[in-house]
Amino acid sequence: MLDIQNLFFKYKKKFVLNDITLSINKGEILSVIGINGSGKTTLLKSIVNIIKPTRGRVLIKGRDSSKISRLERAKYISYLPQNIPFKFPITVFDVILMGRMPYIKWKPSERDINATSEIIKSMNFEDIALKNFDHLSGGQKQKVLLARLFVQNTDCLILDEPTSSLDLKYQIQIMEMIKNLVKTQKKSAVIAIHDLNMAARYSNKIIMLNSGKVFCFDRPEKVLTKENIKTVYKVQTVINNDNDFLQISPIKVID
Amino acid sequence: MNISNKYKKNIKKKILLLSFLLLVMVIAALTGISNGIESFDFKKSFIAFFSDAGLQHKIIWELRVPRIVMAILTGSGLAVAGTVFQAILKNPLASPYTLGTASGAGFGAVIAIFLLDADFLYKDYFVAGSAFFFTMLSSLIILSIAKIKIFTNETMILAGIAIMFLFSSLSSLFQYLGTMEQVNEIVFWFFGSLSKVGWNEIGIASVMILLPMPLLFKWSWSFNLIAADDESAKALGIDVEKVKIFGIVCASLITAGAICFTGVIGFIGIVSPHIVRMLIGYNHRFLLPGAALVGASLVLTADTVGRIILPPQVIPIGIVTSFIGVPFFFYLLMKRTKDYWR
Ligand SMILES: Nc1ncnc2c1ncn2[C@@H]1O[C@H](COP(=O)(O)OP(=O)(O)OP(=O)(O)O)[C@@H](O)[C@H]1O
Ligand SMILES: [Mg+2]
Repeated sequence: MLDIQNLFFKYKKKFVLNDITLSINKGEILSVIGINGSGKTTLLKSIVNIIKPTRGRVLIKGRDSSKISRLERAKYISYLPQNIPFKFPITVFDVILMGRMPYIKWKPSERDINATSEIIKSMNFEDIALKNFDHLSGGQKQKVLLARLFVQNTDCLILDEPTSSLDLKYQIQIMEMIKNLVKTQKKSAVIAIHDLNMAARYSNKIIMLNSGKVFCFDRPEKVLTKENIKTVYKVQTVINNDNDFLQISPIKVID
Repeated sequence: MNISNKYKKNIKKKILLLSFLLLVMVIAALTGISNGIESFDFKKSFIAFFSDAGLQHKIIWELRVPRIVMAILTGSGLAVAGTVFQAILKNPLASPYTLGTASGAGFGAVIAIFLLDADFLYKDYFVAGSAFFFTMLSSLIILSIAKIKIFTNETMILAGIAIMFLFSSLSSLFQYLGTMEQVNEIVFWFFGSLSKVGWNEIGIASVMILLPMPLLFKWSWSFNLIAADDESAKALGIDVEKVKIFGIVCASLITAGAICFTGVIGFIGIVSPHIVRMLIGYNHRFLLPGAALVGASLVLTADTVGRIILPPQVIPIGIVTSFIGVPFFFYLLMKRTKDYWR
């Protein structure tokens, strides 16, 4: 579905992404982990072509993404930004409706409006639907932007810390939603995430970045080892494998 | 009621409000046609409008109708340009006036007036072309300034004011160097006036103003997204750079068209979009047409006020709009509440 080949990116003179190669299949979730500033957001932005890679290629379904027009690309790949735009004084309904942008000319069609209403119903947004987006809490905003991503209905979803400002219940709910979507509709998701337990539980593969390089790219239990975490995060951990999924508990920082 | 019906009802309400604004504009236009140094009631003007002779008919068709048409063009043009500048620069204080683009247009018109022979046949076209050129120039300066991240909304307006001063002083220089006749024309121009426009000017201005408008209206959704966040806009398939560049070109063309024959008419471009945001909201699909209607109504009203307040004097419209605009501008500066973009 998505192939990234030898991707490089530099801001000014400093390489922030260094020779990243990875691939993700239909029905898979790939988590991107790494410390602050390791290049997760930069990687996701280059995949969506918000920033142009210095070198390397992104293939969507085998097609070179830089050769596809923006509008066309937006029908294949959608993006949830890490930072929520902080001024967006239009209704929640309109914000979600914008997910239909790639299909709207000037007037949203009946279909666009219905798709939006459905997602609003399924995420229980009826009460806030006609409220001003700016007046929502940080977590609500994040959920609304996720809803926008869902109505965009693309095969690839690129999410930058989708659960960072959600409460416990919603963290699980949202991750379950993404997982269901990916499994049942054979989509692919790339998720940058700091919560290693969440990453362990929901991903098929994990890529661990270290200063813009791929430190490790494999199944969760291969990537999330004491040694790897110690090298990359400088943190000592205890890893439990009793249940169905890994549990990582941080113990202390190693200098 | 289910949510999509609620939304559609909301949309209907907005369309209703737009129709109301249209009605306001029509009333302002009719008032403008009927009133002036010589005032008639609506009925009389109606009869005179459709008769084919008589003094009233002449006053209406030769003096008033052209000003009314030009007022509508100028007002809607400045308001739409202001709305577009605000969206693209993500800056609620942006407008043709505060960014210095209007002064660019002014300077362009002034050098054309200065350099060309008074009875040169195609003078109007050169005035318009030159105004457009300098509007573009100042818009491009503003656009490149906007790329530098350290500029906040306020400092960008300061830069705009600096550009405004630059072009104003250049214009003054020409005024200083000009002959009596040229100076007269230039000074007149600086007050902003609808008194001198004829059908020829209206023809040129309407092409410059009405041609780009549909394109800008078509980009309503793009402006909604760009006003909030470039990255989301890109991810949703909008060619952000293209919309910005062509948006600025269109807004500049409109500004030049609105200003090159009427002179400096300030504050319409900044005030109109804010009035519509308060009434109808921020969605550019309704904001752009709404601003056009409000801008036209404001210019029509200011023009009528200027004609009836001190008869037989006609107060230039630029002076009247400043009297209305300055307090509103201060109000905006002070009301930096959470609803505003920051
Ligand atoms: N606009 C920019 N100009 C220059 N350098 C930048 C810019 N954006 C990011 N960087 C640098 O690129 C590196 C990677 O940043 P990136 O945002 O991709 O990190 P991240 O892994 O997403 O971090 P976080 O976990 O904090 O979100 C950092 O060193 C950062 O300083
Ligand atoms: Mg990041």
